[in-house]
Amino acid sequence: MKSQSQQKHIIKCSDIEPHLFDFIQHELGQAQATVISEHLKKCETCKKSLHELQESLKTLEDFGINKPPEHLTDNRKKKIRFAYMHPFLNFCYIHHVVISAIVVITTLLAIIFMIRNTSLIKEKEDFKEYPVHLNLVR
Amino acid sequence: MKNQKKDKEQAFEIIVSNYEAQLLRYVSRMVYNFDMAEDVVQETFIKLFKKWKEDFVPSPQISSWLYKVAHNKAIDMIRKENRRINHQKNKAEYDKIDLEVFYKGDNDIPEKALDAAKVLNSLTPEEKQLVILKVYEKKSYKEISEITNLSTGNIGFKLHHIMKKMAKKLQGENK
Repeated sequence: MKSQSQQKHIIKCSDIEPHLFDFIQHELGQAQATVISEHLKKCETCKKSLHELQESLKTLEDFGINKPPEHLTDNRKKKIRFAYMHPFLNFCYIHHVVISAIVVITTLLAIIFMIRNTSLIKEKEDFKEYPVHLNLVR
Repeated sequence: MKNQKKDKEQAFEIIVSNYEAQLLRYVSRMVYNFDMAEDVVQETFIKLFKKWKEDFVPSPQISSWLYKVAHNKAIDMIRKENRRINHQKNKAEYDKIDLEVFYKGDNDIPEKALDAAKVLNSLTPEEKQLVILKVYEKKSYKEISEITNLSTGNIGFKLHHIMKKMAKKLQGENK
């Protein structure tokens, strides 16, 4: 069995470095965190890496967006509420172009069908009215 | 019937008021534009009310779901916007205008903030997502894992490399 001091000595910087960010963010377990802080006490290279990471983090944190909106505007809330309360109407509203096109096409088809039917009925009536005349032509 | 409507109204108010600020903050950092951020958040909530099968009660599950959807919608929005900018061929000007919008009211944009913004903007959307969730939203690895579907170990590994890359770039910007 190696002694604790020997084990600590074996730990290389390459083992520590990938965990420095986790260490800053307190995402490591107690044991790992202790090993890293012990290593940092002795190792200048890792200490420098840690310092660089902390500096970058601070620069990033300082870049705060100037007062991002905290609330959606009333108009947007109204739209969300409408979508939630009236899903079918909202669907029609979103797809109004497609729905309008379908309505127009269906109406046109209905009109064409009706005109055709009326003319067919008229033709039949004409045929009933003048059967003799048609026979004469033949 | 009246009660049902009242319950729906109440659920709507609770969910929106609980999550709107954090989503707006997150998406604003992703897309760099407040109007676009509001569009994304609006669409995210509409999708939630359409697709969420369980009760509308604030929970970590709803929070993760909202972040996930908002992120995907933000990426779609960025792609659309990039296509539009490429058409206009004035990306440099666009970037400048956008940063000024962020510092509206301030006479000078702090130099460090500009550097940080530039470096953050140079990351891929996935890298940016991890940095924003960890550095600005202060989410734990576990929460980030729920949002991104990455393992906690992988998140630590990725963040370490991203932060190293950013540190290098930031030092370069400061020189």
